Amino acid sequence: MSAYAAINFVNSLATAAVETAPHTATHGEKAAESGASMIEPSIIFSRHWIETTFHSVGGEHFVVVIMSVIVIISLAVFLRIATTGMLTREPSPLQNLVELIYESLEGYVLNIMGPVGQNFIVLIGSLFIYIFCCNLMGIIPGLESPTSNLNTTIAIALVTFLSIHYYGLKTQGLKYFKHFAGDIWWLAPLMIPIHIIGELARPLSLSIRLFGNIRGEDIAICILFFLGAKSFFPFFHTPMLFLACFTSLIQALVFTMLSMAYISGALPHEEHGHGDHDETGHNAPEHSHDSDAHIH
Amino acid sequence: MKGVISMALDFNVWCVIFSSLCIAIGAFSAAIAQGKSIVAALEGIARQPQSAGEIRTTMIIGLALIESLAIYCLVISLILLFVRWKA
Repeated sequence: MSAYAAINFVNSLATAAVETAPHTATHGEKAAESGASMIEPSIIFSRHWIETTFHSVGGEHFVVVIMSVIVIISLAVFLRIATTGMLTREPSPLQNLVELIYESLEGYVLNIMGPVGQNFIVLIGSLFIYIFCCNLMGIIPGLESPTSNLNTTIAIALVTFLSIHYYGLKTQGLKYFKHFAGDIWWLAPLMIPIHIIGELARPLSLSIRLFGNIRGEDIAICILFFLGAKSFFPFFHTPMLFLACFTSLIQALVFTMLSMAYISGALPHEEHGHGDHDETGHNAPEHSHDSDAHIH
Repeated sequence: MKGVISMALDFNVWCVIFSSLCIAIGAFSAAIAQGKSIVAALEGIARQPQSAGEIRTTMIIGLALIESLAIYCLVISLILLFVRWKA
């Protein structure tokens, strides 16, 4: 939801209120133009002010790019400030905050992927922090969340997709392609296309899930805000803002959790021992494999 | 002015009707499925509280996968609503 859209909508409301059009319009389009009760589609999908400003440069996707750059730069500056002068005996509050974030992310990754997840804390943690900040950005007026555009989510999902196969090939070599054929050899001509489609469906579902959630939530906030602006009770969208915070966290969690399940499904299975002596440490990755077998 | 109920409804009206039907059916079935999975997970946790973490993780993944179907319905209904079809 953008500030430009809000201004646009208030203007259209004003003009619709001034001209008291009688109900002579028979066609649906004319009724939609004169009736103030209908929210025009062009309002929700209207241009952000950045896009209109940089229109001569030809940047249709400038909004997403600029918002992503804002997220990246502010994250980098924040982390740079927080981590300067580390390893002191008395850590600063910022450093404590960053360490808290890192430790909780580490626990989250190790809980799902097991001890092999030590290599993936950086990847998954960066994905989590970036997606979370991008999702949260949409509830600030004037800013748009980059993840409410399909381009950004496809880019993030492609990172996951490529890393699945990269780590699969890196750890298993060419044996990695054997699991495409399935267990029974004479079913291989059937199983290979199914597995390929399943692999291709992963980034699709990841990206569309994130996009649809964030976009739908932004549109819901937008519509409720316009409802409040129309009825002069400007708090209709307030509960939706809290729900948006919750959804942002959940979606970032789900995205990274599915990424971890996919990546640990591509890693070799023999690595995890099946000893009975340590149930908590060794059963978790096996369970993630088992659950991954049904996710396609 | 023609009657409201006629076979020759405007194409945009059909779009609105079916987009709302789409999201209604999608949300309905996704809610039933999510309720079933949450019931099963809660029963599992109540029987074995020590395995609550794994059950919760698997449940959240499953809920996300179910919810993505509802989100596809949302995307399709948004497309039906907001894309200007030439018809």
